[in-house]
Amino acid sequence: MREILTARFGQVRYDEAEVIHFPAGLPGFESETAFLLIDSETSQPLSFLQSVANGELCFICAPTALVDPEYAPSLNRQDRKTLQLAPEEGLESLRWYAILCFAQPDAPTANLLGPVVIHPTRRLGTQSIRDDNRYSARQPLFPPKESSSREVD
Amino acid sequence: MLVIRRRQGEAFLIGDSVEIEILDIEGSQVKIGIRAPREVTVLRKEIVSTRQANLESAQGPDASLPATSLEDTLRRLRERKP
Repeated sequence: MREILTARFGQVRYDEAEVIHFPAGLPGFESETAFLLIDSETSQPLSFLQSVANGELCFICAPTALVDPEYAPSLNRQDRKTLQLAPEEGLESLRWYAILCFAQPDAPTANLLGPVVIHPTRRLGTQSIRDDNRYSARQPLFPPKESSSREVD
Repeated sequence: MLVIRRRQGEAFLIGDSVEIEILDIEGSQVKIGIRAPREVTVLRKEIVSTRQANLESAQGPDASLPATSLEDTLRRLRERKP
């Protein structure tokens, strides 16, 4: 077992086999290549992507299907290679997360343009930026005026 | 926005040192060649927007999210179950 001191969770003990490797890092964090995916009962349905090298760095993530139930996963050739996906291997074995942004704390957004894709058994990950422009890097997590939209039918 | 119409094999310049050439056109995709000095950074725009979003999303010691925002988000997500 190894240990890291994190800003969010305090002391975290983990096994080397739990670490997810991001060979290219994340855009803006290219040197961060090892993360832990932390799920806890109290944080369901959200997960945390905690850097192993930097205890202060953590991203809050939501499954893409939670942000948009109709989200259509797509992976380009480069990202398939990063995840060492065999040609016949489908996308259903992968886990898809959108990083949440709380720049406006009461109106969080989710990055569906560049989801974090994880191969759970190979422990590999990448932030895969889509080639199409179907989705936004700042998709509102909650539609605006969620509560007042029921008046009109 | 300046709009230029170019055919395959044609090029244009931005300033003195950046040259953009249309290498190939196939359906809705255009293959573009860029000749630029090493110090000029060239990035796909989607990467720039994701990089910016990542920088704003990173939870660090100074940019830590107030606990109430996360609690509130979790509550709203759990309530949302269709």
